[in-house]
Amino acid sequence: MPDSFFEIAGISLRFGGLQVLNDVSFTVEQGEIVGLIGPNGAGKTTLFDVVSGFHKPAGGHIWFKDVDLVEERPYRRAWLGLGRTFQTARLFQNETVLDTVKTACHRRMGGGALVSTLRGALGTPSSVTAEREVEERAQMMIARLGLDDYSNKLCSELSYGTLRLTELASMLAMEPELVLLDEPSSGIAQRETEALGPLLLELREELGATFLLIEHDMPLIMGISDRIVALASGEILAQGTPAEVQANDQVIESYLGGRVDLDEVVA
Amino acid sequence: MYWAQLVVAGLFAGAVYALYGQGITLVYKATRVPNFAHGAIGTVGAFVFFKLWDGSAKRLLIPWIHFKIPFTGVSWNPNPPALPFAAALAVALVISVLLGLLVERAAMRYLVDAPTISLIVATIGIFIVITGLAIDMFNQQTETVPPLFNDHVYSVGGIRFFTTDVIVAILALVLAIGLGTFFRFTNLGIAIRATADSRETSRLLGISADRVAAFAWAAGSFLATLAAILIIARSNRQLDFVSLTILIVPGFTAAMFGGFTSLVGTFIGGLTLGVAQNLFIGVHWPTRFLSTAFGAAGAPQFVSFLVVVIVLMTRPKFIFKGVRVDEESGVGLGKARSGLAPEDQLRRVLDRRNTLLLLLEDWKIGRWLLAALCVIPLLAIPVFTVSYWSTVLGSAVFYALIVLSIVVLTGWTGQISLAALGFAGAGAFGTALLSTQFHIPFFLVMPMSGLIGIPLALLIGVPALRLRGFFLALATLAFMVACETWLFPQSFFSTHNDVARGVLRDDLSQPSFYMSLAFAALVYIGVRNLGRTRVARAWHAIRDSENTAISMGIDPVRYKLLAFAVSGFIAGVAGGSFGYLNLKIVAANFTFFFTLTYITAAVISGIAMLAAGPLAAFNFVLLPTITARSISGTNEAIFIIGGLLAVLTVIQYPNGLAYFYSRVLRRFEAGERVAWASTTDAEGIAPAAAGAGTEEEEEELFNRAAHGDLSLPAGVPGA
Ligand SMILES: Nc1ncnc2c1ncn2[C@@H]1O[C@H](COP(=O)(O)OP(=O)(O)OP(=O)(O)O)[C@@H](O)[C@H]1O
Ligand SMILES: [Mg+2]
Repeated sequence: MPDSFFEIAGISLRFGGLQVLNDVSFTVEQGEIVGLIGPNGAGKTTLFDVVSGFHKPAGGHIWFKDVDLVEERPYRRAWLGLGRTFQTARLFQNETVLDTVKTACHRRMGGGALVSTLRGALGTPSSVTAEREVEERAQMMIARLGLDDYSNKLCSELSYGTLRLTELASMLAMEPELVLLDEPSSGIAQRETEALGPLLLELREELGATFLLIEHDMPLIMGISDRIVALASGEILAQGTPAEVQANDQVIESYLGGRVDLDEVVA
Repeated sequence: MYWAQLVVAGLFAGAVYALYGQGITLVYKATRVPNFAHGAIGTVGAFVFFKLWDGSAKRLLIPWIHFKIPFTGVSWNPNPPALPFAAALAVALVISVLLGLLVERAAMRYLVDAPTISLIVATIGIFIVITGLAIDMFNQQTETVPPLFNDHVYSVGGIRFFTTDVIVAILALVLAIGLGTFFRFTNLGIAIRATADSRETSRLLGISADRVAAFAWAAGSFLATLAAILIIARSNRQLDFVSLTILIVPGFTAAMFGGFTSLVGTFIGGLTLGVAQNLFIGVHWPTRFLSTAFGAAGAPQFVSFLVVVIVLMTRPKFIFKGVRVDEESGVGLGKARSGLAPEDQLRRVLDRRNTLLLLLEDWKIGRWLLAALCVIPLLAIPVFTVSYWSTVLGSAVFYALIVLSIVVLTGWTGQISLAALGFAGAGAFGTALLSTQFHIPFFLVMPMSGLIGIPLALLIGVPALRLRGFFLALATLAFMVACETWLFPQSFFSTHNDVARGVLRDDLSQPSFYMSLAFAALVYIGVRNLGRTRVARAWHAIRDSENTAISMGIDPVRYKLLAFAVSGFIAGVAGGSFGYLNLKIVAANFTFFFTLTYITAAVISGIAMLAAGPLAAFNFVLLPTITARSISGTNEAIFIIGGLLAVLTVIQYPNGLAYFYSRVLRRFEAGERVAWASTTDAEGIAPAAAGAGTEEEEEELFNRAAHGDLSLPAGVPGA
């Protein structure tokens, strides 16, 4: 039994002949922001997919609040307090922003599927109240991220940056304890990326959540992470504080290529 | 010996499926289009051949061709020349190739990146148009044609077969090997494979994907005609427009064994299916119950269904090695194109005439007016008219409910299902049993018939859990055909098919109509309520992105089964109302062909909108009935128009009519006029319509979000 809030313990996965993840282990403590970096094809997204349950690992455990996630059905993991976003912002193309955020409130509404159906179809007062509450809650989250003007737009009409904000609004609405963010800055412009760092820090305050974050934008991830885990070819190269990882020879060689130096990040 | 004979007979039957499936595989391989029109194209070719060939032309009941211009009395009945075998075959093949090219050029080319549902509905539409036109032109009667060859009976070790059998089998084998070689070793073949993998790759290689598609459609249609002529010659030599369509399921099944890519696999698949069917039929069932159940006439279709489900569920590696299984549900609303959407164009016109705001303002009253306009005739007409009109209106209610059940399952949840009438049939036969055998009153039977629809829906819903897009459509289609040909015609059902109306009077349809209208209204209100709850949101989420839905805590298994159950319930109630209206339930009312017309009607009307139900009922039941007398030029006009509309809809406006109306009548948004103004530069429209998009605006958005000062309402200076 682990003592950490979240622990990835010896996760391995093969796709055919390719060893995508090889005995990956690290921990995340409550309230931390941990950055996951690595070159393209390192297996970062695949690791997220294993945590979410979209791939079954060949071996290993994922401990989250003393539960082994590997044993849990994928959708159950959200109920345990896990939230995630996708690398290519995968929201609901034919839904409005408001409905998307309301959908994210799914687990906050009581009642099983069958009961909800019967109540919903009959329009019982309890169902009407629950819907009103969700609506209010979703509106709040949308307002919080400044998306009021967009709440009735379809996700397919949104620009990428707005889509990313909608994703974050959904995260807020879900209220997860551990948030996995897969390249939140991908697809948005440089100056927006600069605003993203403070935004994520603030969301952590508000949610009181723990973040595990994949990013290619070095200033961003080095600036906000408490710790960094560097992955390459499915194996952990190094982990530690941003400064330690940046100083690591292997990491520099395989990924950073000396591009980023610490001064740039601090500035 | 008994089993050996069955196996051999099965092989020869299977060769037919293989031959039929090869054209389907060819088209799917190159264009990813599941071609429901394959049989129709082949049948047209077969008709051309048999009307031209001097060996058959004189022996036909109607040897001439009947061109007529719809809606007018003008017609022209030429007698085609009698040609020798080879010439007649050549003309038939050329015509079918041209037909295939026309289909590609006029319709499928515009659907290259379309979602699966659009492809399915487009080819169903083409199937309906071709069949409708051809029935008008060629024949409405079934023709018996003379044998193609002097059939010898061969007998090897007591196993008998005919020349035509051998020719079909050899042709299928030669095609499998020949086409297989073609794809592997010739440039064009390799080009087709590259295009199938990705249009992008083929573009980089300098291959025109359009040309590849045109070739595939031409070749597919060529094969369709060849197959159709031989299949007709091999079976009972009956020439008509329906018998070949029933081969859709075995044809698709054969193609499925080849993963819709391998022609050799298709060949083996056809043979496997043929043998499996024959062995199943040959079993001596130990009890009487089993032998009546499984020995019924439709048993082969039941076997097809089993085979499809087993193969799709287990997905053996050797079949699905190179097959891309649909990741998406295949159901989506149309994307915003560049330029103004049609509804916005209309709004702009209305706005220029200063009527838009008036209209929208008055719409609160307007919708009540519209509702009154719909409801009052619905309630009043039966009072003042003969029973006939109640029956018509009753079928409209049935139609609306079936479309509603499709909306919930396919439009809302993204499960492409072609089995709606299967669920309805269960409800209808259940109604007969409950009302006659158990003397249960109407008010209880109606909801119970809905409940009867649920288990049947779950029966296909469970295997559906692992399927998406076209494969799901295929499994449900096989299920529907099994219901139609095997389950519903069972002697038990055909002897218990009377509905007792009880307190509702037997000689009038009016009471039944009012009652089913009331129940339909209740169902509609229930579904509308449901549409505003988290259940519907979960369904939409599963439709748009299953993985995102899961990551938000939605259990796809539970909610998909729920969608099947709700859809089955609605269709079951529809079946109940059908029962009370018609009083006698016959399997012929619940066919896969009708199901296909319902799904096209649903798509035309707006597959994701509740209003699609009444709209479809109005357009496809009431309008045709009202105008029936004035449309006299052609009998198939309704079908032809419906098919054309289906193709047009998926190409031009995949969201459907109801969506259009709802978008025209939506609230006025600030910034809309700006978007209209800039129509000249098509690029700028989409972002302008979304209200933002410039980099500054977006950056502003992020900064505001980051600084958390967003509790101020938007628009307040300094916010
Ligand atoms: N479903 C799959 N089947 C086979 N191979 C896969 C699959 N998904 C990913 N891979 C392979 O696994 C490796 C890791 O991919 P992954 O997407 O996890 O990389 P990543 O670290 O997220 O890269 P990026 O920074 O580009 O997002 C890659 O080589 C990829 O090609
Ligand atoms: Mg990735």
